[in-house]
Amino acid sequence: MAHKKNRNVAIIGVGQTKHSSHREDVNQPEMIHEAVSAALKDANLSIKDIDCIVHGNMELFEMIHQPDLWHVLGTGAYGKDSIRITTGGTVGTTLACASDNLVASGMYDIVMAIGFEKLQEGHTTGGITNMADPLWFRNLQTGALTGSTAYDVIQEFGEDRAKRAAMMYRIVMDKHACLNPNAHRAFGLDFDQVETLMNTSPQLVGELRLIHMCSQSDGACAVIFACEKKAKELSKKPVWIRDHITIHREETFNIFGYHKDFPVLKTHKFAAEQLFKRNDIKNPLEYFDVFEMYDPAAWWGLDWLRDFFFLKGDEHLRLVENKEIMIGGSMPINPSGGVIATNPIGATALLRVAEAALQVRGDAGAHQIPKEVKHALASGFGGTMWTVLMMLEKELSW
Amino acid sequence: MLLKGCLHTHTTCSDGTLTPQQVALRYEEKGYDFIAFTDHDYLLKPGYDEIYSNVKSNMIIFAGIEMTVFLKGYIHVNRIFGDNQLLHIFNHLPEYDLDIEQIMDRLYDLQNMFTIDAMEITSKGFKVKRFDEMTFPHPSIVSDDAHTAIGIGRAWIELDAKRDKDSILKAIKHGDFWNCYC
Repeated sequence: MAHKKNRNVAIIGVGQTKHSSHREDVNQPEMIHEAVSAALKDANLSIKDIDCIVHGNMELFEMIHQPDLWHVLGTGAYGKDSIRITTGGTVGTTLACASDNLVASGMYDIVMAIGFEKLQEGHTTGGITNMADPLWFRNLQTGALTGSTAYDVIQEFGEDRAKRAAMMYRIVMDKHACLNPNAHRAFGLDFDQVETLMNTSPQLVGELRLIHMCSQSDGACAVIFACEKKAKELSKKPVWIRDHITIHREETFNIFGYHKDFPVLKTHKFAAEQLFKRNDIKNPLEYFDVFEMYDPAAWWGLDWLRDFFFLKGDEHLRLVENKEIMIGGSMPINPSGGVIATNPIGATALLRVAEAALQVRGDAGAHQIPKEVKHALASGFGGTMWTVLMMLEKELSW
Repeated sequence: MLLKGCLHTHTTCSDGTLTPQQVALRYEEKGYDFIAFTDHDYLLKPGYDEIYSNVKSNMIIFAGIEMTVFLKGYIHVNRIFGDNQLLHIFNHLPEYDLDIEQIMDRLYDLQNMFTIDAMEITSKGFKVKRFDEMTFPHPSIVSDDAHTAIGIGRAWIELDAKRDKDSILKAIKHGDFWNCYC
């Protein structure tokens, strides 16, 4: 059974900004205020109704300290209880998990989670690379600019098939992003560009090419969580949080020195196994109607399908090749366009939860999947190689 | 005659958010006499050249391309086509996180591949003091490198030349132009 909660919690409001490489038209508090205002409007609430603000982003990516303090005019946190969380790339889903826990515990009735990032105002690479320092035994790596997954997939399935599948995944994400007015990058790519892009997109590391990679975005997301009583009073379409899990494992902490028996990116599998087992979900591919996955690059998105859905052999490649991951397919992945399209890091994983909630409500607009969404999954990834998964439900019936 | 122009801007033919026609309209509204479409080579949409040539505008529209060149990392070089003239610009120097020595090193290598005519010293249309004060072996030039509507009109060049493509490119090669910022 799902992990025990003191009381049920639902998402009753979702807001996000337009995402862009450079939101030069707004400063940080103004940008955050856009998302906060949108979430409050969506929930038909005012800031007075919010009991606690949970605020998060990537530590030092804007080269500033304690943004939760000087963002209060944008967040509405002045005079309220407020908590700041920073867990790297996962921070958005950690915000959602923390908000869920704060409400479920009975401490607060209504909590607003806010994730933001304004990557144009900092030095992202500097922030990431300073994490690793063998001199101080910080033998860990963060960041997504790695070519090893491409190498592994090519080794397993052959160069041509692997490269085509990764580019197919990328183009599907772009097609989804083109339907999402808030997405940062929507190029209008088409499947007849697969071969061209395979060859012309600049190489970053090995076969990881620029077009495969996520963006650096500016943007913010706010999500409002309420206890069952309030959710039923205030919302016509509450989206219930069934369960969530956070996994980080010791063997993934040190990735200098690869060994085939100790694969480095298996926290997804461990997270999915535990979460689905305790919720008695035997076939996640069948159970879930949509998955908003934290996919920093097309190679990872492609590869990770196997881990999250317990797929065997080349099943994950076939899902992509047969376009089953598209809106309208059997398992739509990232109808929003995903992380590759939009990546304001502190907001990115919260956007996965927000977009999954919109799908459950049927309010995703042009990128709403055509079938009814009863069960949605959202993931976060990052920090020092860890995974967060959150399950959302239309009905309070598990 | 005095002409106002920008030789580096992006459209939906690569990663810009405005179509070539929309881009042209925005610049024309701001009083420009010429612009160059310089979409990224690796993202170019099929049929981009036809799309460029169908743009209706009173301005002179140069077709161009922003090339991605690998030289100890990726360098961007604009190639702009006149009627008979060809212009190459070493793009957005402030954006590579390179010191001046490294930039000169890259320039040396680039010159073995192309005839570099100018060095772009702006970043997304903004003045960068360190580069604005430098003297390079080629004329320093500014541009918007606009990808969105908000990026249009920040930096431009003005020059005194005949209103035709080759005269404009020749003036730039000779350094006969002024860099201007809003």
